Amino acid sequence: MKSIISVRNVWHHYGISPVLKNVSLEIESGKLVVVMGPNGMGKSTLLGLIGGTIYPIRGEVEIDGKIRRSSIENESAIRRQLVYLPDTPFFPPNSTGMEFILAVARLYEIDSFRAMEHAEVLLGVFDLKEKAHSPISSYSTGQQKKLGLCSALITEVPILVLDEPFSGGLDSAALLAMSKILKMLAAREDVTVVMAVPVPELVEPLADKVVIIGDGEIIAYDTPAAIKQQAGGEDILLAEALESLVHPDKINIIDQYLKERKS
Amino acid sequence: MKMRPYWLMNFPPVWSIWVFLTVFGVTYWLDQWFPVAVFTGLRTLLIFLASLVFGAWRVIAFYPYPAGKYGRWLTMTPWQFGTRLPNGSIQLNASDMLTVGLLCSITLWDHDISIVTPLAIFLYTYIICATYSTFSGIPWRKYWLKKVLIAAIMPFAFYPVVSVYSMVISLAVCYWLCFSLLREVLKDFPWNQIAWLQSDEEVLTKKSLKTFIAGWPYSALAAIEKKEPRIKNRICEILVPILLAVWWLHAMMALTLDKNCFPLSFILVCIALLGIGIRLSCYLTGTAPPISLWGRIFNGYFIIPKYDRIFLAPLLVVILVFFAVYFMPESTQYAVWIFELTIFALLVILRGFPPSLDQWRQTGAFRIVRSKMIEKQASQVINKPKTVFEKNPVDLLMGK
Repeated sequence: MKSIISVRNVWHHYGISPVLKNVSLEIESGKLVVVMGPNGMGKSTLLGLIGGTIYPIRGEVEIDGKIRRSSIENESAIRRQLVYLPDTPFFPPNSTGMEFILAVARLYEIDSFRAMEHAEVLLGVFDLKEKAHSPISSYSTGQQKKLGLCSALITEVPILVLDEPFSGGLDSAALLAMSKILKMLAAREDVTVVMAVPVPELVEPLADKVVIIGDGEIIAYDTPAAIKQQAGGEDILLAEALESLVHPDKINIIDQYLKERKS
Repeated sequence: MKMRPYWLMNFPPVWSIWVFLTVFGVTYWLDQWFPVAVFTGLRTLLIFLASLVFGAWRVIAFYPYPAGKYGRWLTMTPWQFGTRLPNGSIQLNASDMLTVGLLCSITLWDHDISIVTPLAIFLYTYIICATYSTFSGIPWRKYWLKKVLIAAIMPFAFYPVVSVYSMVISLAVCYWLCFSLLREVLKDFPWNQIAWLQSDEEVLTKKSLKTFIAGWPYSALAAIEKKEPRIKNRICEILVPILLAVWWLHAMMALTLDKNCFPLSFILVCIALLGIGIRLSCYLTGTAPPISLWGRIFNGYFIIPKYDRIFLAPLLVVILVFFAVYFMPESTQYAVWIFELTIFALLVILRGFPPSLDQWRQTGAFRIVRSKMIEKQASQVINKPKTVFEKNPVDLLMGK
């Protein structure tokens, strides 16, 4: 199948030490790929590179056959077909949620009537209908997270890059809604989703493939079942597989600790 | 209440005339009792200010700015070009002759300034304000030739090489151009509705970007293709305003007879620093280097071409100004020429040296970061009453 996202030999540093070391990744069209790994290992940097906020020091990122920031035409075309929702986006505090969502839709050239209709539905799905016409400054952290998700979904683009969409105080209803939306998107052949999540269990049933990053390198990139197999067996949890691949000694340390506490 | 006749609607408010006459009378009376130069100077300043304020008021109070209350109200009325503007004419008429005539006649009585000075100042201010006002509401490129001609001819009115006749001729030509420009612009009224009907989405998208209402990173990663203008247009867009600016600078400098009083080198360095600062702030706002300075040094990335290219123009300006200051002779006419030529070259480099802002924003090797300045700007977006121009088409159709 055709790769829609290609990350080739990417190195990135913010300071002296590299955050990503020679990372290469091919993501096929229509897949839902989950990026996992411990904190500070380069997940958000990888997503930022694909999303377009970061430019690699070495290597290149190609989206649908066009290299990022290679020319105005290529970059504009990429921006039109990809949405990147960072972990901490900025919302204009004095605008209402509805105004914000419609402004985002406008930037993605969505027809006004269609956007208005879609916004109403999305705000309903995430229980934000009552707050839709209130200034964003009055939203709680969880509500702002939901608004961010609405803004990414209203763009209707074929590539969604979401940094930790399940974190930030989402309530159970929103988690359920997001899981169902992602399931629907995962089933579609024309939508590719790349997202970073700290809790593997939430996405295990959804993910087509999982990328495990450790110390700036890709340790594993395969289906959840294959990753579990690689880590020691199909019966283990994805979180355990992650730990055993990134920190092979960690599970032993935890077991040792529990044993000591019991005795 | 009885309404003023139409031709008198442009007459300044009575209270302003009383204020002017009282202050003028007091300074005149004080001058009679205490004949010190300061009172004569005050009267001259007063006439100067009155002409200036009246010239600006004649445009600001009567031009239907699309964002102003009058303009918004006029949009909702059936007013059309060819009928009288309800608040009074924007073009000069008999009441203006009366007001400016009064100011000129005061100079006859008080001999310190020339009789034509109030008229010249009034016309100057009026033409500048009227020309500038035509930029709002319609695309600024429209009627560009007339705007450029006005800006090019105006300095002849005070350029010292020419006589009083050329001053009158240049002001008359400028007024005629301004008059026809106003007519053409008003023919297109209401500009807002036309713009909205033509491309509502484009206008609203531009507004979203301008006010950063889409927050971060959406505003920074906006999926809008900004087509680079054709080279001919780009050269015109860059060179014409710069040539005009340098021509105005030249005319202004020619006004001062004693060229030695200018610390030209100092002014040049200040302008260069200011220009570099403005260019860099435009390019670097909302961005961060791809790697820290220490990271560069330790990892051997001494030059990152796709990032470091924005520092080429400032570097060229520094070199240019260094040589200009070094070779600038003291207190000669050549110093002024070198100064003006350097300003021209400096502006061309800062405005036109690649990459262009659009090119940089889409192809530069920077990190897009949350900028405090942009966040502050976005935070200032308030839900003020919207004009037809600003409204969402859906709201408008639903009658909201």
